[in-house]
Amino acid sequence: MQDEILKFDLVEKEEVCGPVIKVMGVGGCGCNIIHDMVEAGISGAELVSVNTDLKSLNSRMAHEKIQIGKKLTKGLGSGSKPEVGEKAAEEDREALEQQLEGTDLLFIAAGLGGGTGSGAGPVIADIARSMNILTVAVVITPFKREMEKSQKKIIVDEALKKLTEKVNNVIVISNDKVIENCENMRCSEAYREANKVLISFVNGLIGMVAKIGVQNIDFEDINTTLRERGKTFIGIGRAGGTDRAQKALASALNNPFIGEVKLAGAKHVLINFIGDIITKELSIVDELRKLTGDKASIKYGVVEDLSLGDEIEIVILVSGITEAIEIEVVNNAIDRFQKMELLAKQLVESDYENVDIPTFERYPN
Amino acid sequence: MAQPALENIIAAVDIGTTKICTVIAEVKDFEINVIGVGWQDNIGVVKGAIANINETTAAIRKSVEKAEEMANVKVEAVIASISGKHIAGIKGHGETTLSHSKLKEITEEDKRRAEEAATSIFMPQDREILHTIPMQYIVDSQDEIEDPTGMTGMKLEVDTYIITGSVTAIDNVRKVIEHAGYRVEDVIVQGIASANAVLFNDEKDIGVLVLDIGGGTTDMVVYYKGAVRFAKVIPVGGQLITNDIVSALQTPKSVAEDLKRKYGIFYGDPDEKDELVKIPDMGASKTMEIQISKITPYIKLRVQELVKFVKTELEKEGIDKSLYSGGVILTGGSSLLKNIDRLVKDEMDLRVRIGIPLKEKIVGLYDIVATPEYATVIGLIDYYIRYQVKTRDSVGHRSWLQKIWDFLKSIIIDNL
Repeated sequence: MQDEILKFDLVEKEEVCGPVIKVMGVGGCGCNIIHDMVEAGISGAELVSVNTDLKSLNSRMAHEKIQIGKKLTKGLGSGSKPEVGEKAAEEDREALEQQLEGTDLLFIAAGLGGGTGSGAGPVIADIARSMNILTVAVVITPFKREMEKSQKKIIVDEALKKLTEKVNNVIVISNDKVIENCENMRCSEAYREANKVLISFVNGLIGMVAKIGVQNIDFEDINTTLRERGKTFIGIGRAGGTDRAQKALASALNNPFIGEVKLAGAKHVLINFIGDIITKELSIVDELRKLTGDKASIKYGVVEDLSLGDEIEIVILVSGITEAIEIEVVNNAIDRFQKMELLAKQLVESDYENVDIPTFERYPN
Repeated sequence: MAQPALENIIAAVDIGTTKICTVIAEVKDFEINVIGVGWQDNIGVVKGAIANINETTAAIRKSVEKAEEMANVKVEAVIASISGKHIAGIKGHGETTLSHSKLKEITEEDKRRAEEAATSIFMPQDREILHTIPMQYIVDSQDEIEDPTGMTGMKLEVDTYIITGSVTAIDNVRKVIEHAGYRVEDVIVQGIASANAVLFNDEKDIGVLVLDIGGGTTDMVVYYKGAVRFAKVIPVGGQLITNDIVSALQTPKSVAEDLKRKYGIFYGDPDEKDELVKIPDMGASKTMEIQISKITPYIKLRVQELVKFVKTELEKEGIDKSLYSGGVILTGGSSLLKNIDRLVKDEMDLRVRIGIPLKEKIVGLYDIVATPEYATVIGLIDYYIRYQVKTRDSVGHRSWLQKIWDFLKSIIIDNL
């Protein structure tokens, strides 16, 4: 009884109204991500780092730090053994539970392939699940060349499998894709680039919930969207100049680090417009609907942010993506002929079913 | 009138979705002397595949009879075309070890053995091989050999493109020809035939895409480095353009067909007049007026979609532009649609020409057959005399005794 009153007081003091969002960086890579987020000045979420390796934990910034497996590892790390990471997290299960108390939305950020992220990550996911917290795992997978025929691939696959079972959604960023896009960058920068991608996703989602807009997407929308089964896609695009809404949407849909999104058959779409938005620009929502089909529930929010100047930013979250129908979104503006290209591909895949229906009926203006 | 020598007479029947076209020709040294043609409307074929045996049989008989009358000869056997969605191509690879004796050169028999090995691919029981086309031969490690005859080596390999069709569809073609009273000399894939009739050798080498746009299907073929690399049938043809106009304007089919043929795709060039045409309403006795530029979008959309299909099929097969940098050759009845070449050029950004049977292949009545509608039927004859006859005579009809003798002979020679 005493406890409850105390907690209530705390909430009032901090004037936190709205959902509590936490990002937990697990393992070395996770701690680096949290560090970068603190440095980037992310607001609206509490940033917690969790690690077995005390040295790494101490040298990185975070709002809260939790050392796990003190007895087991003596603060020396998990030695790339997921079993050690798992046991370490179990050892400090209570501390983790305490930290997660009252959280509405949790992001677990980790690099897979090592010991702590791969081992402790799923344990944290399990704890969050038992507390019915909406949880998204955002993970970075190692290079294919590191994984070939090695123990690492088994570790990654195993960890991904466990995470997928326990969290509501997993967003995977593969280092290979990052490098593909940053071939001429210095290695350290490229690694940071992967972290940046991850951070921008988390930040985009936090923005959706936390930023107060002219028209709001509320937490419940995100809740339903992320709890949907099937694959999830998140993308962020920014553009200025003419047709900036189309351009921003196209770049949001075509994320080089995740790959292109297949929109057909998606169940939920949340789209947030940020910047100095003109009403006309909201019409791209209709174009989006043509790509998803009629069954999708599409919600949008508008956040006025004059600091972006001429540019606008679009954050899009798509869930319930089915793999069955393959539609590829092509760059830039989505006009009638690009739509035709998408639908033509679909038709070829279906072995020309319905090809007899007049084209002008199948591609309405 | 003297009857031409019968052994040089060849008849070919193009079994199309809307029309059956027969050509009877006298053949000498690969030159085709057209002596008779016959056309007959047909409703027994749907999208390239025979759907009604009796209708098609009757139409074939009439078509051949017309040609016979003109040529003043009786036809016994015909070469027939086959099309339809069921046509599929796959790549095959075969190899055979050669005699160790340096004296022994590669023979037709070695080539055949390698090609035969290439056909031993897994194939469902309901499919039958129609063509095995060698793309390149490899002798030991030297590849890109067009004809290895006369070379020596340890191992002969061949990369082939194998075109198969559904057994039922192929049987139906054989059936309608036989029911009509003729012997089936050969069955050749329509796209392959057409490409052969309209392509210059240079085009085959540099790489081109042939689109034989007929009534019910578009038969695509890619030639590269002198050989077929890809064949596919898309179930979209001129009939659907007509149907689209029918449902857009609610006018009878015959009127839609006329509009399509007469005006095609309107581009609004200075010499093009945007005429106002009167069209009757379907069923009712009223008429309405429409500008031809208003009909164009319906036609255009259908053709544009077809081009997207073509591109998708090429992409799926992994064929990029470098394999058909020589451009697109349109042929078949629907390539007569006004400005279709221009539209395809806009859509594909490549050189586009309309393909008609090449003059160098034809003697005699060239003017009659110098249109895209004759591409398939002339191609049937041309392909048959160039590629099919040779393989048939030299290897196709060998008895098992002959095969054993050949085998023994090769062993004896090897050990000499």
